[in-house]
Parts: sequence; C-alpha cells; structure tokens
Amino acid sequence: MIPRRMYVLTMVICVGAGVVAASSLAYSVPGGPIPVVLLAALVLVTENFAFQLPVAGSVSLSFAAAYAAMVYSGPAAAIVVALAASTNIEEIRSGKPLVLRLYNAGQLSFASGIAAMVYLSAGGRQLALGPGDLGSTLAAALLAAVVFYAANVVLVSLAASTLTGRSPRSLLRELGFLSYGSSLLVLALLGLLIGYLLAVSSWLGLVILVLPFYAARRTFRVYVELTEAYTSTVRSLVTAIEAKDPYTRGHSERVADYAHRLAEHMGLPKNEVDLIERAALLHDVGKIGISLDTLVSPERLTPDEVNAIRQHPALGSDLVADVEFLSDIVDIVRHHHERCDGTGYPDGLVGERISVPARILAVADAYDAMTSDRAYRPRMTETQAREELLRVAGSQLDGEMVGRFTDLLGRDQTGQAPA
Amino acid sequence: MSAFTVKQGQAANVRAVVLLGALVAAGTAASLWTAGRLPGASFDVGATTGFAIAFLAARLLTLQLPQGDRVRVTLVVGLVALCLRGTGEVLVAASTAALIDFAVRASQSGGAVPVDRLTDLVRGVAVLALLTPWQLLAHPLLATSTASDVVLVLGIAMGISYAVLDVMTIAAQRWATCGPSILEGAVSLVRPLGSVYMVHVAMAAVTLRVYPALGAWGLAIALLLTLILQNSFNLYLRIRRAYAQTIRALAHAAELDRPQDVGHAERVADLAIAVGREGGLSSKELERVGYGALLHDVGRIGYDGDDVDSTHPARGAEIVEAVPFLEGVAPVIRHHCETDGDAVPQGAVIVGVCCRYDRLRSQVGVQAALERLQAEEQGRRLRAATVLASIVRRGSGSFDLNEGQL
Repeated sequence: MIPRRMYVLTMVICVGAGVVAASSLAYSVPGGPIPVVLLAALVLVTENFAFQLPVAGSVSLSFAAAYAAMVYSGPAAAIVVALAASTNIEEIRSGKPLVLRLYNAGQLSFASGIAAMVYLSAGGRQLALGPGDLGSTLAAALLAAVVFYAANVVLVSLAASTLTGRSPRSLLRELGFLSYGSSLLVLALLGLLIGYLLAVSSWLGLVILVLPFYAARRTFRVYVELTEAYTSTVRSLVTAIEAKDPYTRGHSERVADYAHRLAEHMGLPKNEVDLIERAALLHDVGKIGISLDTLVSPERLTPDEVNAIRQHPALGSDLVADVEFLSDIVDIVRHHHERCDGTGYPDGLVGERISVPARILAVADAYDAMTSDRAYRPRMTETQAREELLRVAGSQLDGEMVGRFTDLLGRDQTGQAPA
Repeated sequence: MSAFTVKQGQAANVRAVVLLGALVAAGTAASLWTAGRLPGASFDVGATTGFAIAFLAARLLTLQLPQGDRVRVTLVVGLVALCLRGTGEVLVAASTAALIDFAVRASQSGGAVPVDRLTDLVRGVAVLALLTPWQLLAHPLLATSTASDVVLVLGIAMGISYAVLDVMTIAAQRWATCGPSILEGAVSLVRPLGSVYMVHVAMAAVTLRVYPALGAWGLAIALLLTLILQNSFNLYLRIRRAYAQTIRALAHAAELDRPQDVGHAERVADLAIAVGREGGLSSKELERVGYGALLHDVGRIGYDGDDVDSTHPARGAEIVEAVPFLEGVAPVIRHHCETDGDAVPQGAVIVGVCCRYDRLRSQVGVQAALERLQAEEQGRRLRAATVLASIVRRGSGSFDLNEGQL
C-alpha cells in the first residue's frame, strides 16, 4: 500500500517541477525544436532498454541525452527530454502505480530544470549559439552535473524512505550512491560530447558515438547474466560430480547454504558472502580424487588412508588455484580443516591466523558432517549436533562463530515450530 | 637476455626475428617517406608529452584474450595523434609511452622480461609508422574542412585500416612463433577484439569532429569513455575465462580417482578444437566441442556398473543439460561414442575420434594409434581421423596443449 504521505510528496514535487518549467520559459531556446525532439525520441527508445555502465549501478542513457539537451539549448529542452525519459513503456505495461510514475517524472524534470538554470547562471553557454569559451563552459557543465546529482539523490531517497519507512541515511548508504555518482559523471561527459556534436550539427557523428555505447551495453548485460549464473553453474557441476559418494551427496550444497547464512548473519558484506558460498561449494573438490573405497569404508582407516584424506584441502586449493577468477577462495579451501587450537591440517594454523571465511566454512562443514549419515556412524540429531558444536567451540571451532551459528539454528527451530 | 622465454624451435625464432625486422623496415620507410612530404615539420615538446601521457593511459587497460595473451589497444590515441601532429611527434610519443610501460612492468616483475612483450612493443610502434602516409591526406583535409562530416568518414577509413593492420600483425607474430596460420589467427582475434576496435574507431572519429570546439579536452573525454567501454568488454572476457577455467578444473578433479585417465579430457579437448578448427567449425561450435570434450566422461563419475561404457554418454549429457551456460554441449557428449548417423552432430564425431585416439595412443604410441584409427573408422569418423592424423604428424609438439582456445 502506498502511504498517503507519498501522494502529498508527489503533489509537491509536481508543483515544484511546474514552477521550474514555467521559469524555464524565460530562457531562449536556440537551435530550434528539431534537435530537442530528436533527442527526446532517442531517449524514448533507449529508456526502454535500461542502461548499465560497468562503473556499477544502473543509470539510464537518457541522462546523457537530457544533459546534452541542457548544454545545447537550455532548461526548457532539458525538461522536455527528461519528461520523455520518465515515460517507460515497460513500467506502464507492468502496472506501476501512476503516483510513482508521476513522482519520477516530476523529480527528473525538476532536477534537470534546476541543473540547466545553474549551468546558464554559472557562465555556461547554450552550445546552439556557438562554442564560446571552453573553460567556463566545462566548469559550468561540471557544476550542473553535481546539482543534478544532488537533487536527484535527495528526491529519490526521500521517496524511497517514505515508501519503506526507513531512514534516508541508511537508504543512501545501501543504494550505492557513490558509484551512481561516478556513472553519472561518465554520462555527463557523454552528454557533453553529444551537445558539441549537435552544435556542429553532425548527426552522423551522433550515430557513430551512440553505436559503441549500445554494443557495450549488450556486452555488459551478458556479463552481468554470466556473473549471476556463475555460482549456480558451479553448484550444478559440483552436485553432479559429488553424486559418486552416497554419503556425501548434496554435502557441498548444504554446506554452501549454511555458510552463506552464517556469513550473512555475521553481517559480512555481500561480496564476501558470495566468496564464502563459492568456497563452500568447492571446499571438497580435492576429495573427488580420493578413491571411493576409502571414502565409504565402514572400518577404521589405515594411516595411509587417513593421510590420503588429509591431503584433500591442499589438493582442492591447488585445483581451485588454476581458476584465476577464484583466486580469493584458494586459501579458504586450503584452511577449512584447520582448528583453532592449532591441531588441524594441512598448515596447523592457530586461532586468528585462520581467516574468518575459513572459520565460517569449518563450522558449516562440521555441522553438516555431523547431521548426515557416515559409513562408520549414523547421523546425529540436530540437538546432539548443536551440543557437540558447543563442546568443541574454542578448541576445534571458533567460539564466537559457533555461538552465532547455534543462534541461527535456534531461530530456525522457533520459526518452524508453529508450522 | 636471461629470461628469453622461447619454447619453440630455432626456425620459429628466425621467422619471428625476420618478421619483426621486415615490419620495422617497412615502418621506417613509410614514416621517412611521409615526413619528407608533410609540410611544416616542427617538434612541439608539450603536445608530444601530452600524447605520450594519453598513449600511456590507453595502455593501462590491457585486454586479456580467451587464449591468454594480453593485448593493448591504443587506436583512439594513435589515430588522433596521426591526424593532428607531425610524423616525428607521433612516433616519439608512442614509443616513449611504450617504453615507460615496458620499464614499469619489467621492474614489477623483478627484471625478468618475456621477449614477446618486447616484440609486441616494437610491433605497435611499427604499425603506427606504417600508417603515417595517411597524414598526407588527413592533414590538408583537417586544415580546410574541419566543419564537415568528411572528417568522420576519414576517421573511420583510417580507423579500419589501423584495426586491420593491428590484427594482421598480431596474427603474423603468432604465426611466426608457430601458432595457427595468419588468417586463422586474425579471425580468432576478431571475435573478442572486434567490438573494442569499433569503440576505438568511433571515439577517434568523434574526437576529430569536435576537435575544433573542444580541443585536447575532447581527446581526454573520448579517452575516458573509451576506457570505460573497453572495461565492459574486459569484464565480459574475464567471466568467460572464469567459466572455461572452472570447467577445466572440475573436469580435471573428476579424473583424479582414475589415475590412468588423468589429463585425458584436457588432451582430447585440445585435439578436438584443433580438428574442429581445421574442419571449419564456427567459433560457437568450437566452444561447444571444447566443453563437450572436457566433460565427455563426466557420466562415469561415481558409477562403476558393467554397462558404464555404454551408458556414460547419456548420463553425462543429462548432467550438462542442467547447466544453462553449457547449452548445446549435451548432444556432443550424448553422441560421442556412436559410430555414425544423422543425429550425431559433427562435434560429437570429432570428440569421439579424438577420445579414441588418446586411449589408443596411451596403449600403443602415436604412430600405431594413428594407423589403427584410420583402419578402424569409416564415414565421417574416418574423415575426422584423417584430419587428426595430419594435425598430429604436422604439429607434434608444435602447439601448446595447455593453451586451449576456449
């Protein structure tokens, strides 16, 4: 449900945009309507393919066009293009509430109108009137980009906090407005180039300039898709390979889930959580090389066999080291059998010398091993396993992490109880 | 030179040196010829330094190709420099930047400098020198008609010739150090590098067009945008490489408990790609052949029933079908043990033959294995076996097995 405050806010911003639009009429519109109309048409097309820049964040190419309209012919043109930019066919089709679309249109025209006026009063020159002094134009253009950024960020986080009821400050931090700023700066430079191409009326140049951006956008989208699918690809391959051992089938996948949740629960940043999840998926990759007979043997293992099993973290990390993309998880895989008291293997590291991700992985791994059947013993119940975890906390496993993990398990149980 | 990392024979060495010498000679001749005809030769230290910095900035972002080599594309800077500055200034700026870049990297790697890095540096400057005759056309044109789109056409024409020359010389260098033929090498470079060159050419043309209004700022802005766009291609290449290496590592891990098989999948992949390339498969098909070969025995894992030889292709195909990234690979695995038939894709035929060859080779050696293979097989498999035999005989040891083309 959209809070009533949002309607009030939308009304205010629309009135504000109206005032800005009315005062923009006081400025001349050099260059005539044709370039502005064409830019607006360009934006209508590109806006329906949300544009992502590798700098991070999702910024629409239409900002570059609105910015070009601003430096080329002033506030009125900038507002027209910004309005075109906020008309997203996909949003209309998917039934995004009218009030949100209105708010978006209002804040975009308000921000671009204000930025354009700042540009002109700071000594910027409408490029349709001729190039003018380069230094002052660049300085004013930079200032205008900053003004647009500030207005846009404030208005967006205001709406977001009204909708979600969270403080604007925490939203600011979460939405990554810094990387948004750098993307915006890049697009402002693109807009400036477009403005200059319009000023020398080079339509061919405009096409030549936009083409590589289009190609880069497509490539970048494939990149994002592949990156998102990477972990799931590793997951399905590892699951398939692991299927050889009836006792550890699904182990890596479950450990990955436990480790992921524990890392999240401990408040680690998202990229580190992803890292731990990948390491967990691959932590036993070195075991694939140990013969099946050793793994499923119900008898006591010979010293040689124990030795073979003890090789698996080092072997696994060697295998993972062949993948440049996974260089960050090599050590995690290597150290998932280290123990806090220094009696683990292969390096016998003590306490804090074992990295946080490796300690997280060790807890998740131990818990899943205890709660699944082994050839030489049946599985423990969850309560038994939790008690066992607490018993070895501080000696084998990191005490704090065991605490957090049992927290998490306890929460699961109370969550499940009513159902 | 202590770190003279040449794996190949003496002949390849001589070929590489002769090629480089020819490039340098041609470049010197072209630039001297141009410099003699270009009016108003002067040397502006400030502008040269500026372009050297721009060259250096463009060199910072290297592109790592799927084949593993690193390429630096500085086309946008080189082209603009050719159009705006004198012959000497362009070459001095480019070689200064290349030398600084080289020195920095050499000091980072503790003084050990691979010789191919040095030859690539010389190649880059030689290409620029070979392009200097364009200046005779560009300079008068830019002096008279700055305000027309003719400049864009000029920029694109120059850019295309620059890109073609760049790609062809890189491919020639690879051929000289006994890689694939020049044309094949060039084609395999176009796929990953084509978009990057397009970005550079487009940005260079636009920079020339707005130069009268924006001056050096135009080049700075265009360079920044070029690097950012290029980075998105770099990220893309990087994630593709991540997939390729991950699948390679997992295929390797899956072999470890069958000691007689260790390295089998990788050898089959390298052979199958070589055979497929010779047979004119598209790069997409080649990729499927490569992944199919790496994973062709994945259905054997954890299953040691008596029927494993006949059932592992279907089990392997099922595993792979669940992975979206490996779309199109499942048929290669499913049919790799079949003798022939309409449903068998060419990739499966190739993988099957290469797999059979590798098994025979480990039992009876290279020559006997090739002979047995050609006696046993028929139809499409025989044709693939013939291609394989010619590759193995021609190039035994001449291509790096660890350098798959994935």
